[in-house]
Amino acid sequence: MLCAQDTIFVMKQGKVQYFRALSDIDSISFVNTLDVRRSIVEKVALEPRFSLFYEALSATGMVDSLQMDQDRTYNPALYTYLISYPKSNPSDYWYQAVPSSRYFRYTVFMESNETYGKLGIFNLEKLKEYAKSVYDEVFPEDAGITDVTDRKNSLNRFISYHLITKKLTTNLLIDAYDTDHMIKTQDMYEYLETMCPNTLMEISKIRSTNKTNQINRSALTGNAVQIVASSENDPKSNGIYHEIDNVLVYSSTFSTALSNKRLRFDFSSFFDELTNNSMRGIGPQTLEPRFIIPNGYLKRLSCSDQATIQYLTPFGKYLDYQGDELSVRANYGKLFDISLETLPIPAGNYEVRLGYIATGSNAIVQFYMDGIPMNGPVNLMISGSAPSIGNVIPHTILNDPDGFENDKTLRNHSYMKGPACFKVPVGGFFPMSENARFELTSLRRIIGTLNFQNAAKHVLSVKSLGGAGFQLDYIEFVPTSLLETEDIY
Amino acid sequence: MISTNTMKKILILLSVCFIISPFLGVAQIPSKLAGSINLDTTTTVYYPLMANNNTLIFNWAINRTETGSEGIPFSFFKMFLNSLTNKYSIFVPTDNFFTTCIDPIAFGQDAPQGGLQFKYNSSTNKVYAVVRTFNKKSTPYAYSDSVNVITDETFLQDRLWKILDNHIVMGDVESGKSYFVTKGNDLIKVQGSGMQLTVAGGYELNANTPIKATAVFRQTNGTTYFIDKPLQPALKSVYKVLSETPAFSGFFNLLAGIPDTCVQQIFYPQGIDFAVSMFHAFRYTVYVPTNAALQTAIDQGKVKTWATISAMTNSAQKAVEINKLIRFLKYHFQDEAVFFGQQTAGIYRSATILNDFSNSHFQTAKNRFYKIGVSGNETSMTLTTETNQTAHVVTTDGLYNIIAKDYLFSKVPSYYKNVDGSGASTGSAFIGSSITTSSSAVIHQIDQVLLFQ
Repeated sequence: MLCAQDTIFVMKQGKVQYFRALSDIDSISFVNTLDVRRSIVEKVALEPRFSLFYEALSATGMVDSLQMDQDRTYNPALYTYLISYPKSNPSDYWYQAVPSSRYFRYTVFMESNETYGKLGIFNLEKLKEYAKSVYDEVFPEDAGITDVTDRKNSLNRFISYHLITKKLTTNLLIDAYDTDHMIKTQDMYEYLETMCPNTLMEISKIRSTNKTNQINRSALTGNAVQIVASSENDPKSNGIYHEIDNVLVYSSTFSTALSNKRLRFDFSSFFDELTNNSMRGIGPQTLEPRFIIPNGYLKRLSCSDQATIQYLTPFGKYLDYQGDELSVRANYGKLFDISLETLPIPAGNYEVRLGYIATGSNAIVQFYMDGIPMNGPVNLMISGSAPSIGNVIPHTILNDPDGFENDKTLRNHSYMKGPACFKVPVGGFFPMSENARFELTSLRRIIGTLNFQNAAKHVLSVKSLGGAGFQLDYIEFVPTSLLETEDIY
Repeated sequence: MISTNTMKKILILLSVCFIISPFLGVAQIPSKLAGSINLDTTTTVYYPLMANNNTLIFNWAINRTETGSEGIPFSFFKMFLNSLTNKYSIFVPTDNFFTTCIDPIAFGQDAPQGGLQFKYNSSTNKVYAVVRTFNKKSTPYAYSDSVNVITDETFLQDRLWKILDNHIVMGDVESGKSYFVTKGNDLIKVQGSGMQLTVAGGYELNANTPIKATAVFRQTNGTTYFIDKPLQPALKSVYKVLSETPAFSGFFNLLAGIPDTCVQQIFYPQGIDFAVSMFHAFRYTVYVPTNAALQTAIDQGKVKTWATISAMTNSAQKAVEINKLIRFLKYHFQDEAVFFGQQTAGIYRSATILNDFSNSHFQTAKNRFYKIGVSGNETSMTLTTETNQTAHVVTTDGLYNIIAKDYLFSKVPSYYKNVDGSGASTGSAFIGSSITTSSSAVIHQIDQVLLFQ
């Protein structure tokens, strides 16, 4: 019987070729070489233009973090019994499926040797110096760590910040989520967790300049790191790389900017598995697939056995941010209890809000953040227009045409209207309106105000006290210093 | 190895001991302990009233269910009170002390007004209400004998759920403060602790008749207090308090004097008489400048009277001045109830919106609401305005900490027949009436007008 203290040794002709503590290994895969699968690392290694990056990738040991391919313990056949409406016999406009695979995938953002050269970086030592100059400022407490394989070392952080555990084509960076639901005058932001511990990378789509895939763009200068070329999206490869035009770092300037802006996450962006297994980002379909997510399939989410999680891909009649949502449904008469890990949130004081649609098919729930109960139980079934919430559609009150007084009422009740950055593009389930702000049932519940001492991931838990379920559409972390000036979008 | 069943028995036994031991009043062993007990609930604030034969009225109300769209029935109050992750204080008038509650809708009707005495019918296991009438113009109120009995469950649930809302406080009422906000936004005053605790709703505060605790149960998620009378919220609206207090006349006349043609009105006919239009199911503070302070502001040209504005001939200028005066008045209405006599420090939103990019002391942003800074202790309360000027609560005439309540009914009281069945033949049956929501306000007299510009 293996235990976490054991070490695995790979031997060849009596010599150790590779060894690793089991505690450092997520899974072991045996890949059929006839399948000609190729690691993204091989692609990177074969490109002389990126030799310096590859040298650093190898030196830091981060090369080992890009090798996984597939969780072969996942067998979709074990879960097909959960499907009530298969594609062959759909329910009206949708059908159910289970994820067909559980692949691990990666994206590598890389600078060419030429790009490094512009900053006078021609070898690993210079790259180390550069990384140290940047990351010692952000993490001064770790300035003395010289072992480049240490995850807190500056070069290690530098390289790790270029690595993502999702396979993101240029379309999947942000454009794929710009569905017809999104208001085309409002900029979009997507956040990626990098392998540099507790850091985010920001991808933005700026409408005014018609520029997409802007990486860590400065709102002050408009400067951003941009993609200049990408590797072929080889389905047999476990990753993809993008060449970028400038050196990418988690600078103190970007870190400060990130901790002073509203962070809105589509819940589906939390889960690598949805992207890596062709669920998130597939765009609106005529016949909408709903993926039943087996418990344990999503690394960041756990759910009691009495509930079912489904990922509802974007559909025109849904009033959802980016059109999609995760649905949590308790089995009839049962309770559910889910916990999910957020992406890393910078340190600071935040108001935390959960976006949802108020319907009678929701539940009464208790929210927790990091195990701390957030106020009392909340009845998510209550209609938005109920006095205890008080939502009123803008333009319907003569002396409050824009709804700002109504906004104050909602905030007093710990709610907000839905943001004005998305809408329902197709009628049928919701009235066609300007945007979510004009829909009574589209609400944000203010879960609470929290102080995060350090940049870290957090655990949101939702326990039902009764009722059927609710949606995980989007969550917001808003610095309290921004509340006074926050826009309606 | 202890079996699950053995463990359950031990827990039940422990829970019995737990309930008896903190019982500080007349010894009463909960009489429903026999039979099946939901182990999840035995240590919550709900349990003492669930397990007692003298709290059947509240228990009936708590157990009323709603049904979600998927057909699953649920009882929100039960889930709420059984939540172990929160702390509550719940006041439970025992059935024998469930005296007549004045019905706010009946109170807003023409004579006679009515009160409801809720009772529990052990044969049907249902609650009913005995209707008694009185005349609000002759105090103290003298209730008639029963003139009617109401058994309509929708009506009884509507009223009892509002009463329940106003008997629950999130948190500990023995934390050292005096005033608390109930789940239903009622303002109550608590003094003492344990069996020496007294509690008063707005009505009891006005009448100086606090209600006493008769038993106290320290539970895992808070404290359950059995009390000797239901808490009665204030029956006076903000409109009523301001209109009948001579020292508030200057401010009231400005509030009530907004031209009828103006869309923005402070008062509108709702609830018992009139309600404040900026109130929405919350708790507020209203600051009323003394008549002298108001007159000074008028004399200094800081505030124009309606008479002055009415006399203006330039209609555009007149519209500007109307708007200006309304915005001045609304700046005296603040979100959150703050009380004189306890430690207070905070910045609160007023009801006047900042609709340009002008600077203000509290750096209020455009389309946000001008703010008021409040700091207070046992002997004083100081307000700081957006112009960085100060005003103080005046206590010399006792015109502070006045609690008022503005109701919102599904229809105004005159829509219904009177509670005893009398009234216009066109009126709807009284049992069809329902309370939609309510807001509470605490009113203080202050020594200066509040200006935001």
